[in-house]
Amino acid sequence: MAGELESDEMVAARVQSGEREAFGILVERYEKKLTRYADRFLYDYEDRRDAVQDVFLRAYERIQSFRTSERFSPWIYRVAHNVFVNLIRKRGRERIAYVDLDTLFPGGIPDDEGRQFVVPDMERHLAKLDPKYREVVVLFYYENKSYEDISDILHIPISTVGVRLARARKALGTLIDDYDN
Amino acid sequence: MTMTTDDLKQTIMHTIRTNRIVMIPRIHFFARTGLFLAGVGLALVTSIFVVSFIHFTLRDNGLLELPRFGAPGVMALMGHLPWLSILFSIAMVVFLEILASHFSYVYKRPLVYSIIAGVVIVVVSGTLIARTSLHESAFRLSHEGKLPGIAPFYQRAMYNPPNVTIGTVTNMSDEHTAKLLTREGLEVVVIISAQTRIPDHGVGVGDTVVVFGEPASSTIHALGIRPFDPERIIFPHARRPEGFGEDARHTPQREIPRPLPVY
Repeated sequence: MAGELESDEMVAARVQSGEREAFGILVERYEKKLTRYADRFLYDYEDRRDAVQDVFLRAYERIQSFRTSERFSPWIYRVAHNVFVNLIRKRGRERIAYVDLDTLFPGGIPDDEGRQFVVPDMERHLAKLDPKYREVVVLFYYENKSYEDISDILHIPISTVGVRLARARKALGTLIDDYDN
Repeated sequence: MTMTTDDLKQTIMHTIRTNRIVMIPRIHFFARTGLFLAGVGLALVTSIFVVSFIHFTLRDNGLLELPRFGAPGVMALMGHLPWLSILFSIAMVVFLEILASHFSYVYKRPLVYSIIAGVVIVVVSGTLIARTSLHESAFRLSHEGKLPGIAPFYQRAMYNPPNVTIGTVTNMSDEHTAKLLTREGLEVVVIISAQTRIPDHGVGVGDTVVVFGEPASSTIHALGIRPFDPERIIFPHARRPEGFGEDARHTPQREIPRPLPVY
């Protein structure tokens, strides 16, 4: 089928030109990824599945803002980030600042600390992390996004991505050690 | 109820097919980007204009000379700074940063870089523009009624700080006393003491100077005196008083005492 050979960007271009049905291909390709993103970032928020639906509807609505010369994946993840963050703010259970001081100053991208986390350990403690750290962990470890992609998704400096990941790893390490003890 | 992939896709495509959701036209996003760019441009131009205006008024009111008079001069300058205009400029730079952070070139780098760049561009450009004749021309035009909207803006800014007096030395009776013709046409007596900071070459008749000191009726006990370029002065009145500034240099020669010695 033509849809299987086409890149996401080519499919998006078809949608932009008026082929509404082509959007279904993008839904098929990204439904599992965005659901996984929602499940881990929004963990027990009851309406997280509705949020995934909202992401696709919003992506369709704003598809003309996507530049086909760029990659589609960071673009739709950016849409998802906005929808999920709005949901968290609306529910009011967790606080997400509009401006973070860690985006103000440059932070060196730290060396990998060498500590490896097993998935069950991370899963157990992910929900306890601050949302801004939880999100970078989800995008980096579960969605396999690069620092640059995460920077584009979250609209934060690339160096801040590294800083947040380092802090998240440290916090996770503490949570895991406390749990084990 | 757990939604399967097919359920989700069906729901979304049904919503699209029944036009319950439609694509926003591309022109909307072009217009939005255009608005952001226009906003960035407007914020930049506004902040540069305000900074240039602040620099211009500080210079023409003699306030830029105050730091040369030491700590008392700096304190006096702090009291005379146009804080509202400064706060407005800062607000414009913040607004500029908020708009600019929508572009990847800005958000991919720490905010401090773009903030510093913004401040440097605004301050340097504002200082350069203050050195042109833009504000002087605008002031003259507004004074002549040709720019009615701007006149109050310039009139409010061109005031005479109480402890800063600009004038031309018209007479020096001795080493400690000088007569000054101010740009308002008033004659004041300047008392010079051992504590008065004066230029190395001293002060002579015909020199246009800025005097720092609190006036008491028509006498000023000067804390400091600095030369001042009369060509940079904009008068709140139509004409310069006879004997002020350049006119003073062209008056018939009188006995001109030697410049005051440095204490």
